Amino acid sequence: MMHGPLLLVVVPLATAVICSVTSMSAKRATPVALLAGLLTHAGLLVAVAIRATRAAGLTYLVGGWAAPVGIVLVVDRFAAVFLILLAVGEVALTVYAIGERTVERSGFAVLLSLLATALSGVIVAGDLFNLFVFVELASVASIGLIALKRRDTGAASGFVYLVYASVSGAFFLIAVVVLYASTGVLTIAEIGAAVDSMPRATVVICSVCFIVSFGVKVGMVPLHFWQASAYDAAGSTAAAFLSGVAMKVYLYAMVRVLWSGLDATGRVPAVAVVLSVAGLLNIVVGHLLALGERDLKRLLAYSSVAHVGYILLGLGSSAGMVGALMHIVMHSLMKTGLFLSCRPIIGHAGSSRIGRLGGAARAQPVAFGAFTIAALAIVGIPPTGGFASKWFVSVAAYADYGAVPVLVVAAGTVISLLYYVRVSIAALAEAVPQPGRVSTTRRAGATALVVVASIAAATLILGPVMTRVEPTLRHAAESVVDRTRYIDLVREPPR
Amino acid sequence: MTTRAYAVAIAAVAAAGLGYVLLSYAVTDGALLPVAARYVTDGVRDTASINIVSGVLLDYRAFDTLGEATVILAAVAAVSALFSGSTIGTDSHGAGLLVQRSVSYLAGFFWLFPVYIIANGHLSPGGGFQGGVSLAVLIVLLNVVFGTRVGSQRIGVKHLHWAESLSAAAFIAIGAVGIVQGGGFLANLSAGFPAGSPGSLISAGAIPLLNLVIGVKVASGLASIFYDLISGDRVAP
Repeated sequence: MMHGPLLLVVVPLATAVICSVTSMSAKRATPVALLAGLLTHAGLLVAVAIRATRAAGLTYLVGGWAAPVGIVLVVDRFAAVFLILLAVGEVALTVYAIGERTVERSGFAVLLSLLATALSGVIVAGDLFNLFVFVELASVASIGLIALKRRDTGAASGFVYLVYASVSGAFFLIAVVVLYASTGVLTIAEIGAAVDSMPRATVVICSVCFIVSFGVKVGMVPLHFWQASAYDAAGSTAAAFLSGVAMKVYLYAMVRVLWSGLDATGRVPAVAVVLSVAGLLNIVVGHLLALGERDLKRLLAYSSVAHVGYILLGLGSSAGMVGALMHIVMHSLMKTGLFLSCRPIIGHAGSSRIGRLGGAARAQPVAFGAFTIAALAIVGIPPTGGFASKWFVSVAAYADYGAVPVLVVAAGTVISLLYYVRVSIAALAEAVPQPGRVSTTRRAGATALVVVASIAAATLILGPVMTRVEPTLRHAAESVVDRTRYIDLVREPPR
Repeated sequence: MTTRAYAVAIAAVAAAGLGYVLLSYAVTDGALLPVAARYVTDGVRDTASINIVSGVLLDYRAFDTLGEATVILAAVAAVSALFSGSTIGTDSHGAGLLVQRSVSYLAGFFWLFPVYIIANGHLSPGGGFQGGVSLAVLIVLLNVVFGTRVGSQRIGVKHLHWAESLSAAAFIAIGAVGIVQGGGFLANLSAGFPAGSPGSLISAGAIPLLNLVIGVKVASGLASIFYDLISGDRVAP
């Protein structure tokens, strides 16, 4: 367990190598290798997260070199939450993809393991350039996952994302260069320790670069244009992982550099205002775009744009870190549930056009039931966990910015209720025989339905249980809001 | 492109390079930052590599290099997934007889350069990435000069995929030696790799091994991307 943080990166990387060998020599062994590798990885993720939460943090020196000279890996309580999210998303996706035979697509297993490698690397990175490397790895693996389903539209959407990701990477690199030139170190904790003596202008420039860089990755309006076509092209399975887990990890990285590294909201209060305003803009634009959308998968993508808004609003409020974390956890579950449960529905209808979903509810009752539960949760109907997280975000935003954000959140809830009801009505309607329709008789496998049903159950249960989970999340939030803890953890690691 | 356009392009690149150098001096005053100073003063003692850049890339910050090499693995996987199922067209016959004969005489010397670059990565500028790219260019040259049929028979996509996977596994294995020996993942001298006498060919512990592994990985990765790109035009415009 001493090597825990490191193994989180090495195990999925080894899995990727093994899958790339089996896909050449023994295709049937690929699902087995993927499942074994990623289940081991998920187990390690949970084990490291629990250990880091108990010990208030873990560090690992790669190659034995101490922090500013070498690369350090850090897992604090805040990172532990994201390790758990990654573990849950990864297991759900792998089991689902094997059940639905998505895993047999050429390259899927390798790219999925590499994305898991990259996301683990981003979470445990304690070094700014190491973080950059893993963010780039995540981009390249995501492009592959977006492009591999359909060659024509997939390649186009993948290319659009490639352009956006390059711009994002350039902004990140500018910030890295500026920070290295002004501090002489790349360790995030050492930058955090030196930030007090840094000119305010440097903090402003780097904060702007990081916000734009990660804004592209999470779909901050107006940098969200790649998202709908990418999730549409990616296929529901990959989209579930990109929206449900990868996006949350980018948010983690943004918080890590802005809070632990730059003390951005402390040194420059305007950063908090910018995040909140961006959040409100995302909520309004995302929900309106979703309302006007006629395609189910693009609708879900726009709903993701809106929900990043709630998280950003939480981050921009002085006491909102807990609410933001809660919404990160809830949205991860809800969006994974929605994307995975819409696949059998779309598969039955033969089209992802909402107008053509008729008869899907009757043909796929379990998937439709799970979809409805996840939709109720994401709208924020009280017993579900989605209500709790929106409530915490709203309370924190009200304390700082008054009634306006709360009204925007309420309006967003009404709009999202409208468009999810529209989808449900379309799916509940009788099937209309259509001349040009490709009827797929393929039924969703039992494995996939079990995964979907468990995610739906989890979204329901997390509502009432949220009060039990809250203290853990509060500790996690404290470990990033109180910057000295992170810096002390890296400088004087617990023995 | 006209001569004038070339001249403008070269001038622009030169100006950008000069600007970058001036800018980097402006932000750092030309003095070494603390961590960089440590690399310069203690680099040879710590890593036994007289090429400090290799020492930083393959010892102090070898984990970054593992990540960068993995980015290539991901790119190859993505590109080959995009082109899977298509076959390499064999309609290219290569260059004329004169070119083929002269290249076949010169090929031996062409191989010498990347091999030197990789083998001396810890002694002089260069290393696995640079040598690997040169190797990939040689494979491209083989296909251009002798035609894709001859080229892909000599060095096939399948060989390249195997070489890439095995070199990735070797990178992890070299790193794991550090775990077993107790110096931590990707540890070099502290994991018991022999330091040798700095400046000689067999020195710097694991750094030459890593250069070799990276060279094979980069060469096979880039060459297999080349094969994917020349294979059938299955991607609709």
